[in-house]
Amino acid sequence: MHEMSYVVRLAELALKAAEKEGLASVSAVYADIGKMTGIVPYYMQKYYKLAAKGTILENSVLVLTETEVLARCEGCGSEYTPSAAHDYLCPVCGRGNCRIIAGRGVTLSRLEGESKDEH
Amino acid sequence: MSIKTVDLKANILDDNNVLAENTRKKLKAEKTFLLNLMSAPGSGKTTTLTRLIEKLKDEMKIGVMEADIDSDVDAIRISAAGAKSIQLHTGGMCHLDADMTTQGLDSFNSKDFDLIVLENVGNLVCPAEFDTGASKNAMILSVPEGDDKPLKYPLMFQVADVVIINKTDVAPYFDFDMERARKNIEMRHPGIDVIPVCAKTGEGIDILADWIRKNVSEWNK
Repeated sequence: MHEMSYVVRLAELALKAAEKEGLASVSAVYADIGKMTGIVPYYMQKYYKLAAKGTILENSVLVLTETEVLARCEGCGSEYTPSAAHDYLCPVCGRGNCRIIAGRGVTLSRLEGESKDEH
Repeated sequence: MSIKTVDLKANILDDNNVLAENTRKKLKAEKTFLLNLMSAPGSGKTTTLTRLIEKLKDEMKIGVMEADIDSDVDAIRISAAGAKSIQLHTGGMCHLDADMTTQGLDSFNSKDFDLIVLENVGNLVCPAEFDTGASKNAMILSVPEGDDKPLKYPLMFQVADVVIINKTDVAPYFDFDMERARKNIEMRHPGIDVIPVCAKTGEGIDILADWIRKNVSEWNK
């Protein structure tokens, strides 16, 4: 539902990084999507084409990797992927207090492209 | 031309999070408490707010920022209840971010208020993702939505600091089990405050008003 706001931010960030690194064009943009974010990759791809149009991202591919949700139990310190099978509680000690340590948000992880300078 | 690979580890929402943190600092210095109120459409955000305003308007200066995709019907109701309100049209966006919130606060002269309520877009998914810079997050779960909502929208219940259960008067008609709702909320967010209210009759609004008073005074310490 909110893919558009993520895509616009992702494209802005990629353009800024590409400029800073002196890229003349970008061929691939790699991003990690946390599964907890509820983003549909299909729509990310669809909107990315719109966001990239007319920029040096225009001919780039967007490579998305979904990252698993990981929680750390505040009780016993175990790390686990919350699942409905155990009511999203810690499978080791059964507590609900946890910190989500991975699987949220979107991260721009890598850019590939051609650099401007010859030397 | 040569091929170049650039490794980054940039969180897309870093900009938003930084702006939100700056907004929080500014509000803290101004002694203005910003409450981000989230819920599904039709859960009774505006009715609950008008009840709260009636209770609190003589002891604090209240402003409301209404985020809607279109129309100003809610803003009109808030003004009638005795609070200053402005309308933030999100232009079709399904949530508010820190930037839109900051713009609203600036046009509002936030330092003139003790309490500003940000009535977020009715939606249980996207608003939970974007930090607005609010002092606290509140969410309303209304009885007709069902006591299983915390299982379906985990992030919303994790980011909330208080859950207001509204429309308690119709619980018998909806197979809504208050204990089951509390258990599901507690599972998502252990120790969270849960306040059942009926905005229509005013039941429970005193407890909610006390929650606001307590949090406003803690914010101003």
